[in-house]
Amino acid sequence: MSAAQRAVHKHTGVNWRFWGQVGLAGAGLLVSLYLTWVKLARVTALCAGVGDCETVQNSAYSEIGGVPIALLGAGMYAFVLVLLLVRRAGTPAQAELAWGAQLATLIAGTAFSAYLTYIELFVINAICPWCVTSAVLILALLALTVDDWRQQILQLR
Amino acid sequence: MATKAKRTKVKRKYKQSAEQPSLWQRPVVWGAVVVGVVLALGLIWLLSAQGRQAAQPAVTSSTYAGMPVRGRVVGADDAPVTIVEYSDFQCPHCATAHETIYTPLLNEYVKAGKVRLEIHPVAFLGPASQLATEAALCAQDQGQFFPYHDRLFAAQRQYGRGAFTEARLKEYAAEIGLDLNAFSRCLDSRQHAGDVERLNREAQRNGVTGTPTFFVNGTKVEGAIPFEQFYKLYLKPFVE
Repeated sequence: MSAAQRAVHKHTGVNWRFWGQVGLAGAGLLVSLYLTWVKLARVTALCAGVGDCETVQNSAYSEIGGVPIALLGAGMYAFVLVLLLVRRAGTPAQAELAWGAQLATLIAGTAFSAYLTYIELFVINAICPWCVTSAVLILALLALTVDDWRQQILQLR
Repeated sequence: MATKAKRTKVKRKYKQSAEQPSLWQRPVVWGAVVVGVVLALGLIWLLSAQGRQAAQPAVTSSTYAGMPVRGRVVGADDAPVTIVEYSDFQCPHCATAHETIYTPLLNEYVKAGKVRLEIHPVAFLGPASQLATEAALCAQDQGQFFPYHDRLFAAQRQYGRGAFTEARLKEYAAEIGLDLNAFSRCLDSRQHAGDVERLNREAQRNGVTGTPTFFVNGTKVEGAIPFEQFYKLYLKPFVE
């Protein structure tokens, strides 16, 4: 933890770096679980008049081998939450490994969600705001994870 | 003095960061980047393969072999059940119903002579629906409504809202072996524009306000309900 980080932590008693990432991953998990339920229960997603969730959710690109993409997303966010816990409670060596796994997961997640956004925009010509929200959350998580490395803070005590 | 102390502090800080090993030198960073990129490429490959596979309709032309087909009607005239399906090629729930209701109906009940199925296409969802329905009627002129209708629902899953451009509608016609010149003349001249409007009006007159809507021997069933429910509530009394 950098001196500035330590000072903020000492002053507030809250590790914002940890809780920020937990918040983003938790929000992503909720969005993904909602979209998984929409897909499996065949109900209409609440799109609030923005975009076209139905077309996206019914397209061939909404699942891989019968597994909804949203469920894969939920698994990814849940895995990131577990890794964040390891980085908080584990030893420095465990924290480093967990950080590496988190980076790998988020690189894959960001690249994949960029591909999904491309499919939405240029192949099926329909945008699902929930999917865009998830893409933004993954990108923000990746940015914070890379910043942890830049600041040399792999353990989130 | 204060400036000198500050300079010393900055120098010490630089020295510390130079001594600290860069994370780029740690295997964990490179490992993470490699694993992340490989994982992403694998997922992208799987999904694009899925997209290509979607071009295959749930029902193939051979499914209709041996079934009586007349225009937009398939099945024996003396079948105990007549089902009329109102669907819009652009409606996602219709694409779902095509897989979950239409396909089992065709394979199990139409083939067995128990159900006569009539498709009533409508264009409730704007210009792309209108064009797709006109194209389906052009295919019907060549006696190929059903294979074309199956291809259009596959196309919806494959290309979403981009599925029903003129160029793509002609591609699908070529794929299923229609006379492309005749099909293009029919589509380009908007030969069936008036027929589609008539079909829309007929649907509205029959109380159809959304798609998919089925009439099973006159009983209205709305939505892409699970086939088990469709069978138990509406079909079973007539076929058992």
